[in-house]
Amino acid sequence: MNSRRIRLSIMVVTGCLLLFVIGSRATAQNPVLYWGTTGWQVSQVQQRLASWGYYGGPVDGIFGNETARAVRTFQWKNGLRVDGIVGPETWAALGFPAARAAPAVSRGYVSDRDSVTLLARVIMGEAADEPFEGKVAVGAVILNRMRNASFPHTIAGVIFQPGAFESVANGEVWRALSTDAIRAAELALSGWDPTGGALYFWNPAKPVSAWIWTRTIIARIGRHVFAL
Amino acid sequence: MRFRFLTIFLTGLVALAIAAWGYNQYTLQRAMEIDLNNRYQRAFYDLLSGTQNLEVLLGKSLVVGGREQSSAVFASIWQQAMRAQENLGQLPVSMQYTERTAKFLTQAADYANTLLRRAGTGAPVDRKHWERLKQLYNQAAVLNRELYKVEARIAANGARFWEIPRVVAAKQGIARMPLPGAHSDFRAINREMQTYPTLIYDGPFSDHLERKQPLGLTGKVISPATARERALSLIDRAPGTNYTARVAGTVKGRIPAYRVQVTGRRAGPDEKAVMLISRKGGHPVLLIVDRDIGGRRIDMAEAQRRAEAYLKRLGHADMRLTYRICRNGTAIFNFAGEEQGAVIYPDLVKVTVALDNGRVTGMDAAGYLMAHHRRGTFKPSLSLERARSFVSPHLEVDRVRLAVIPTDAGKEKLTYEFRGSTGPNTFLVYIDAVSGEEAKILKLIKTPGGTLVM
Repeated sequence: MNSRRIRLSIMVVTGCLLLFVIGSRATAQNPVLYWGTTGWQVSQVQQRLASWGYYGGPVDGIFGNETARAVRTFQWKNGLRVDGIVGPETWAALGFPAARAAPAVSRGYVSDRDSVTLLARVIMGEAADEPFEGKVAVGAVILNRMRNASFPHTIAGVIFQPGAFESVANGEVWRALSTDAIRAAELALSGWDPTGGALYFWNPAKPVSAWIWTRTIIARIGRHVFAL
Repeated sequence: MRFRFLTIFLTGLVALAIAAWGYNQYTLQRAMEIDLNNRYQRAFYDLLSGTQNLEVLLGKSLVVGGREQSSAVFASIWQQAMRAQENLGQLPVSMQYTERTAKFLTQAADYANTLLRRAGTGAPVDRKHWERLKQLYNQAAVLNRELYKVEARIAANGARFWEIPRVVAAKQGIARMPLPGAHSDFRAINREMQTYPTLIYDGPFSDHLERKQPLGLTGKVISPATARERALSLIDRAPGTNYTARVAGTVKGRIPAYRVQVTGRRAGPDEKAVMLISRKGGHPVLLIVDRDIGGRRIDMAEAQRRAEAYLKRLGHADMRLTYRICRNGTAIFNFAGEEQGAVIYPDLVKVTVALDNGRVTGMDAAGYLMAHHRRGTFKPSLSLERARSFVSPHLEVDRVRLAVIPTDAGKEKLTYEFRGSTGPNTFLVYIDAVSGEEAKILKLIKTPGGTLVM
């Protein structure tokens, strides 16, 4: 059981690394290779030539005589200029087209995974035993607060506001996440709000501050009441 | 004799160990308490410097003249007020005592932002705005006066001012010294802030947004029984399942609705769904189906067909898919209205489809019901060519269409939507079809699950 998990994770990690390597190679500019060049691009060419039957030598990353001969044969067979130099055309013919001109603007690493995880944490902490609708509702309350003038304007600001959520204060939120909680967080982030705009929720069966009852209750879902 | 010596020795050793452990715990706790308090002190003093700068800047805004200078002042007000709001939210004071103050700071920031944008167009600060700024200035002065009272107490009481460490200490019976509570101070501030009037302007935190009424609710008020029938007829049924429904309560939010629970009985676990049916007109507002999603068996194109078919069943015929994303085995589709060849983004209906059996698991029409109304003919006063000249030359445009987009202030704006790219990035640029101003820029971010819009 345990060893299987380890093996699986190793496979996943290797897979990711491989993807990363392939991905970065595919997008990089291809340098011009000629006799005497060394490096991983050379092995890449050697490997491709070997698998297509042009090259019989070792894939060692050194552009030697044998590699040059293989490149020439390849160029001749593919109607390219036979010069033994791997330039842009040869790269393309080998199946590695040059990446488009390097963009001046970076692609970036923006995602909304952080928001989903944070929301799911509070949903776990506050509504783990509630029906699915109640979980979405708790997520919606956090997002409603974020959009309200009286509360902090980031998800983290709302969640970590001192005294705002009991489960944050007592560490319950750091439990492992369930897929249910993640699904609920994603729905809430996509705009689903079963409460119709609530800013507060509490469990009437538990002792709460008397002040909270002065708020207007607008919905009751599972064991929680939701209020403006 | 020897035995007794050993006992004494061992007892002593244990006592020593306990004492050492206890002392260790005590110092640890104290260190944590001080560390926590220091963070609160930092937040408080940052709040205070923020509100002080805010007061000074609001004062300046009353006399500032030139376009460049007023832009600079409004930008600083926005920044300082936001910073103060952020720090206020980190203080260990119950939300009920900070609510009004937080709102004041948000609105001051937001109002300055609105004026900043206005100043960008060259419009001077008019009488109405000047009066508002004066009110905000007076309010900021009151806030500072009160915060300085708190500051005086903190200065006198030192590190142990804040509530949370005190509560912990009280629980453990360590310290019961009568400290002036931060709570009562902030309660007094909050009371002062109550007197401040509602602010109506063009920003996302304007007071009129809180009172916004749904425009798309047409029809007569329906009975719970009718709502039950509506929900039963609108659920996406699976074959071999027997559906029953009951009204479980009401939701008195912006769109007053009945909460209808629909249960599908079949072999295996029941399927539970909740549907909100609006009280007025019996429109479906929201659907959430609770079931575990199995392995992926249908593709996005098929899921989209199912979502479109479901939309037709709900009675939304003229809608266009604007955005889709796939997450955890569920596809989410956003549909926007379409009128006179323009995309109406405020008329938004979202449908989720489970990719295991292709059935609808969720629906959200709240956006549509809040925004949909009869719109006049769209007459862009700006020609397409003219609008295109306002788009950055760095954008390679590949599609243009008319689009109605919601503004921050909850209104609508007719725009030209340009989709284009710069390098690997795709953007949507919206040009106001009346003024030619750039109304909004969105970036499309491709993820494995679909495209995020930011």
